This record gives sequence, C-alpha cells and structure tokens, in this order.
Amino acid sequence: MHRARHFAFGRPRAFPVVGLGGVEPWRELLLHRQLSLGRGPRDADLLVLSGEIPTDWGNTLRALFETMALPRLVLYVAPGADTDPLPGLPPGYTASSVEGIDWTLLWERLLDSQGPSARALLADQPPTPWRGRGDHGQGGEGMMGGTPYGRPMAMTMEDPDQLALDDVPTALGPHFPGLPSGLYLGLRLQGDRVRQCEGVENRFPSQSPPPGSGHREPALRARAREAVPVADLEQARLRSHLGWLADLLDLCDRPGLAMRLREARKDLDSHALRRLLDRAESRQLYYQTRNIGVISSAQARQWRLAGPVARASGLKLDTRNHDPAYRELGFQPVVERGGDVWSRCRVRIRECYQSLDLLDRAGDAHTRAPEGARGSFLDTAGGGLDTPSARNLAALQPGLAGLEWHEAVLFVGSLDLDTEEAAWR
Amino acid sequence: MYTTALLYALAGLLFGLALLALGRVLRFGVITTEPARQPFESGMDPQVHAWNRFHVRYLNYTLIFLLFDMEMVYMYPWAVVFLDVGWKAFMEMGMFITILLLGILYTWREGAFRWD
Repeated sequence: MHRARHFAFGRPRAFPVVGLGGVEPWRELLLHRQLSLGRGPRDADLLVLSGEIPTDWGNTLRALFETMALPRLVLYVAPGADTDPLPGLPPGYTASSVEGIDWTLLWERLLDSQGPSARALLADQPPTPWRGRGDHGQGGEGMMGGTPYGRPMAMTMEDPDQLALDDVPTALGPHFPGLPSGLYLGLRLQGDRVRQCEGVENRFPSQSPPPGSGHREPALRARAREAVPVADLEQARLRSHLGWLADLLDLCDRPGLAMRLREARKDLDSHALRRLLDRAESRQLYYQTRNIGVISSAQARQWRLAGPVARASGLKLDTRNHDPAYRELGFQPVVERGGDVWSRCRVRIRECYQSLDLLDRAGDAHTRAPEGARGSFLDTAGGGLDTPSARNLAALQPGLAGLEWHEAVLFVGSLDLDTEEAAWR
Repeated sequence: MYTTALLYALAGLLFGLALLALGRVLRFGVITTEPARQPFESGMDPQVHAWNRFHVRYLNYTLIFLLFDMEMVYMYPWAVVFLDVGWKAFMEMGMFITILLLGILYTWREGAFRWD
C-alpha cells in the first residue's frame, strides 16, 4: 500500500514562506528539482519555511498550514536550524542547508498517514459562528447589509465602467505566492480589478542589517565608507538582477527559462548568461509587460523611488555616475523612459549586460559608491539607514489602484522589493 | 446483441467503480474541520462573505465569437455560389469582411487580444 501511494503521489509541490535570510536557500531548493512550486496552500504538500521565521508569523502560518490538503509537512531550511521553527506547527523536517536534506527520509515523513501533520491542527470551530442564528437559520440578518453565515456581505460601488459591482475587502499577504514574503496588502477588489489599495505593511521586524549582510550586499560596506572591489559590487548586482528576472519569468509562465537563469547565476558564466538574457528579452515578455504599472518621472521623483525603478522612469539616479573608479571605466547609467513594467525589465537586463562588461574590465578597481542592485543605501536625517527597498515600497499604494490582478502581480514583481532589506534601520 | 451491450455497460460500470475504490484506498484522508475549509487569504480571516458579484467581462469573448462565427456562416453559402455570381459576389464579400474588420479593430482596442 505504502509503495503504491508513493508511486501514485509524484513530485511534491511546495508553498514557500521566506523569512530572514531565506531567499537564497529557497532558490537553491527550487534548483534541486525534487519539488515543484505549488499554486497555493491547497495545491501544496510542503510548507517550506526558508530562513529565520519571525515569531509573530505563527498564527497566520498555522491557519495556512491547516488549509493544506493531506499529505502535508513543514520543511524548515535555515542555517544553524536544529529545532522546529515555530511553536504550534507540527514537527516536520528540519535541515540547516539544502544539501543536508535527506530526501528519502523527507518522503517517508510526508507520506506517513499516521504522523502529526495528518491530524487537524486547530479546533473545529468556525471563525465566525453562524449556525442556528437568524430567522431562517441562515446565520444572521438578511442579505445585503446583513450578515448571512456570520460575515457581512460586501457592499456595491461603481466601477470605471459605471457598473455597480461588489467592493470586496481582501487581505493579500504576508504569505501570498507571487508577492514578496512578508508583504501585506489591504486591497479593495472589484472582480479582478484593484479599486483601491488601502494599506501596505511590511511584516518583517525592524532591525539593523544582520552580520554578513555586507557580504550579500557590498553596497552596505560602501555606505560605511569602505572601499569595495567594483567586481564584488557588480557580481552582487548581477546575481540579484538574475534572481529577480527568474522570479518574474516564473510569473510570466516561463518556468524553464527561469530555472536555467537560476542555474546560470551560480557560476556567472558570461557566454551562457548573454545567451539566456538574449532569450529572456523577448517579444513575448514585451507583450506581457508593456503599458502596465506606468510610473512617470514626476511620480518617481515625488515618491523618492530608487535604483532601476527610478531609472526606468527616466531619472538618471545612480551614485556610480559620480564615482571616480566607475568614471574611469567609462560607466554610463542605464536609463529608460517608458516607466512601465517592460521598461523596468529592460533596465535590469541592460544592467546585467553592463555588469558583465564591467566585470571584464574592472580588474582590482575599488569604489565607495553605495549603489546596490535595488538602488543606493543612504543615511536618514537621524543617521539611520535608508534602504532602496523601503523607498520603493512607496510606489505600491498609488501604483496598484486601477490595475487588473495579473497586472498588479507583475507591477509588484517589477519593483524588486526585498522586504527583509526594507525593514533594516 | 443486447447481451454484448449489457456486458459492455457492466464492464464500464465496474471499471469506473474500481477507479473510485482505488482512489479511496490510495488517498491520504481529508480534514474537514472548519479552519481547514477556510478560503485562502494568506492566513488572514476573510472580512466579508464569499458570495459577491463581479463582472466576468464576457463582452470581448462574445464579440470575437460573433465576428468570426458570422464570417463563417456567410462564407460557406457564398463559396458555393461564388463562381456562378462572379465579381458581384466578390465585392459583396469584400464589403462584409470590411465591416467585420471594423468590429475586430474595435475589439482589439477594447483589449480582447491582450495577453493576460
């Protein structure tokens, strides 16, 4: 029976929740091809907790895990992890690195129909009790304006076509596939159109950059007036842009190319990368992303946007432009004028080519330009850290209004928000 | 003859039942508690009831269907008499296609051919 189930089951699907320092382990896990990406919790078999998970995510993660169909398991991957990640989640499989995962043992635990994950986690009570209430036992009072089945009905509101459609308050995030982990969006949806974005919250806890962040993001060291090798800065930019491009191609339903880009970003082979970038910058991507989420140069300036997002709206904001080492290398910032998702793709793809060229010519040149992959790291008036991701979060609330849902996901993806970085102070 | 048909029907029924039984034996069980049946909202509780009205925007699909369907409906009989009627039929089809083309351009402008 067990072998028959094993045979019938196929490859497990994963629902990722990325915590502190969890982006790279998750990308590495995807490359292993032992699992595939699930479309949502009901479709997923593994709740993958990658990196250190903030303790206050416990309630949402328990609710999420409970909606997963059987078989299900928590897979926790974080450097130094040896215990289960959060109290309240059933014990699953814990590994300190992706290489350390014993896939046979993981399969055994996943397919164990008597294990702790196979039992209900939460009490069998409706979140909003309704049975037996109301005149007809329908759970409340009436329909429109009432609360049938314990929850109020959404009220109508005119949409741009003057149709009275229900205006549904919807919470998306902090664990939503296609959005950066930890990002919460309070939206008003009319069908698949975002009428209004009422709130944006970053659910990562505010903290100073943890030790080792300067290795991942050399621009942080440059901000501390340290002379950083140009090669380090450009390699970090190239890796970040390629990781972003792979995630965006996943959103655009091109998983094969996305996977090849993830593989190529491991050793940064110039020839292979140029070939893949050439394939990625396709007419298909152009038709999927043009005229979506347009940010004008005036808006980019007003919202204090940073890095490739600002440069895609025609602003020549790049601290490398004033750096002697980069000037000697003949550096010119990459600028596009369209301000849409396609322009942001173009800027990052052109910057990948530029980084490859700079890596060829940089030698042992050093720089103090604090220009990371997402923009420049600045000092706040109080001497704190002003990160580009925190500045780019400002584009979400005004930028999401009026977009259809597939456009909204591409728009958020095109901003390349690192929610962990956005919480650095 | 009827025996063969009956045997086929019985075999089909048994095959279907066998597949259902196999699925039941191989499945991992189902959790049917209230929290497990919650709609997915990233771990948050939904604020409003799941019944709500939204616009499917079938208009564009309907327009595309009508434009290409009407074209075919008229073209079949037209193709039969085309050689007999000659240039007159050609001009008539030209006018018809032009009107349909305007419809296609309108639908295009409305975003019907957009890549979602």
